[in-house]
Amino acid sequence: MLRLIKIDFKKYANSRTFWVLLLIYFVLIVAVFFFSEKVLNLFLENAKSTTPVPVPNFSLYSFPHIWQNMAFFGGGFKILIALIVLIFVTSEFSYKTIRQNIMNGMSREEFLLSKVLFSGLLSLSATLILFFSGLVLGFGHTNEVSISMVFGKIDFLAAYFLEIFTLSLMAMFVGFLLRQSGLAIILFALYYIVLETILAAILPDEVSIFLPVESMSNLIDFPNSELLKMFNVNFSEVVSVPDVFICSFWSIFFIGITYLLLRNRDF
Amino acid sequence: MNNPILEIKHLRKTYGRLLALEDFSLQVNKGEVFGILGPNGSGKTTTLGILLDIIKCDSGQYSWFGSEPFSNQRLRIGALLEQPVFYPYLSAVKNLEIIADIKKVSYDQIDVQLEKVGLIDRKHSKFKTYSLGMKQKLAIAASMIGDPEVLILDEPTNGLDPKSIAEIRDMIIEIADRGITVLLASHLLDEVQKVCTHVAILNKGKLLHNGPVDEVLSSSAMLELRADDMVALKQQLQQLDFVDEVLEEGTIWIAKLNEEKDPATVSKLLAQQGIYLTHLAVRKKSLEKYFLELLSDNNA
Repeated sequence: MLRLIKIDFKKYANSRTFWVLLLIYFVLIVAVFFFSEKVLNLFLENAKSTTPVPVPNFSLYSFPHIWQNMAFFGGGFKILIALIVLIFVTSEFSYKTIRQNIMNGMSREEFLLSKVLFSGLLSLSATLILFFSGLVLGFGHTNEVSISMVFGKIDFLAAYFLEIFTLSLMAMFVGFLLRQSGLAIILFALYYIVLETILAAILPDEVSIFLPVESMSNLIDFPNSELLKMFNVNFSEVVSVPDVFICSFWSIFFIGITYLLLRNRDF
Repeated sequence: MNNPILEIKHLRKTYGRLLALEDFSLQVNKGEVFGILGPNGSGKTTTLGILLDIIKCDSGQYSWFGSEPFSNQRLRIGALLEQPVFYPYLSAVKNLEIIADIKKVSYDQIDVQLEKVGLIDRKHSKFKTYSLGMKQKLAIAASMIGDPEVLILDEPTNGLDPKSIAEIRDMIIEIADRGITVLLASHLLDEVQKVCTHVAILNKGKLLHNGPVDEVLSSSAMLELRADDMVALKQQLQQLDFVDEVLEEGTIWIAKLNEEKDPATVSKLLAQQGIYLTHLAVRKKSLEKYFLELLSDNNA
């Protein structure tokens, strides 16, 4: 497994495209983490001046709620990670290097595993960015910190990882299926942004919760702030366990179906 | 003597309605330089692709090193199929490091192989900056990573200038001299004739002929003969049962033989009839003539 990680790392470590895309993601996500409260406060100030109801002050960044808040806001940017996976899977086809790798002695299973590992490591990196941003922001915005507070809702990190990993694996599958980067990006984005939204609208709720993108976004619910509680809206404050299972199912499904796709294909 | 490295049995492959390979069987033994000769589109690359697991056959089997194919065997095989394929944005060294990692060998050989193909000075240049000849040489260097026991080359001199062609042929001969089994696909007869010990001729997915190059050459041997009495010579020749036909060519007779005969035997037989030859030579048909003949027979 280390061998496969090493091989894939060599492929990307010297690719400018890879680092540029990763940097864009990093800058965007860190900006979102660090400025989301400021933006939200602007709205709140506005709300305070227009509603007679007293709006309580709160911080997005206080432990342990920060993990859910950050994971919720950061989750929207998982498409960037998925696109990196998509671009590099399809590039193996456009350069014909998948053919060469297999000829040189990689099995089809190993090649697939190398891409699963690549998706996993990217998702892990994204999770680590959240973790470290969370630590910095959390310590800066929580008055009294205890260990149990810091790690109180740390399971949201695992959910965040699963959310990104599942979408990356979906992108990987689309890449292996379509092989052509332009086509793959368009169809993937089309499904992600438009098609599933339409499907979710048409299908009854009991069915649409099983759709892949739907289940990914259901993993981490909208942060339940004091403000919202006042309006009697209740969002889940824990990771949605059924969605953990649905996302895990899709992850395994995407790996499995890609394996079937690769097993008998000519390169 | 017979030490099969590769056994192919009844391979068949179709692409949609196109039959690419039909009932293809072959055995390649250790140390042979085996040429697969055929015009473009005859199934050469398909065959090699199947042997390297990048193409799945419809039916039939093959075995490498006497056992069922699995990916680890390819670690013992070096391969170059059609055009050289590398990561364009990576340097030659980085590309070869990836191959060494795949083959589970150390990086020690990388410089040695680059030195051999004369690319050591450009080893840190990106692959996309290489000329076609350099790319092809890098591909040869890449195929030698991991000390392969078998080397598979598909049209290794395609699109190269004459100097590079000569260099690459010398490289192949040098590799074969080290006892490495070579499988070489080519549409160039001259290339196969110069480099190979064995040849299989392929057309439209069918194996037409297969055997040692020498055998292919001599199986259709002709004799050039001259004697003082040309008329008597012709009469005697026509009475020999292994002579098919006697043709005139300038001042000599050309006897087409239907089986291989030692020239000494022919000379002795004629001498017994009182005809003493002043000229006797074996004329080997070039592989090209044979090749074209086979193809036209097949097309007819």
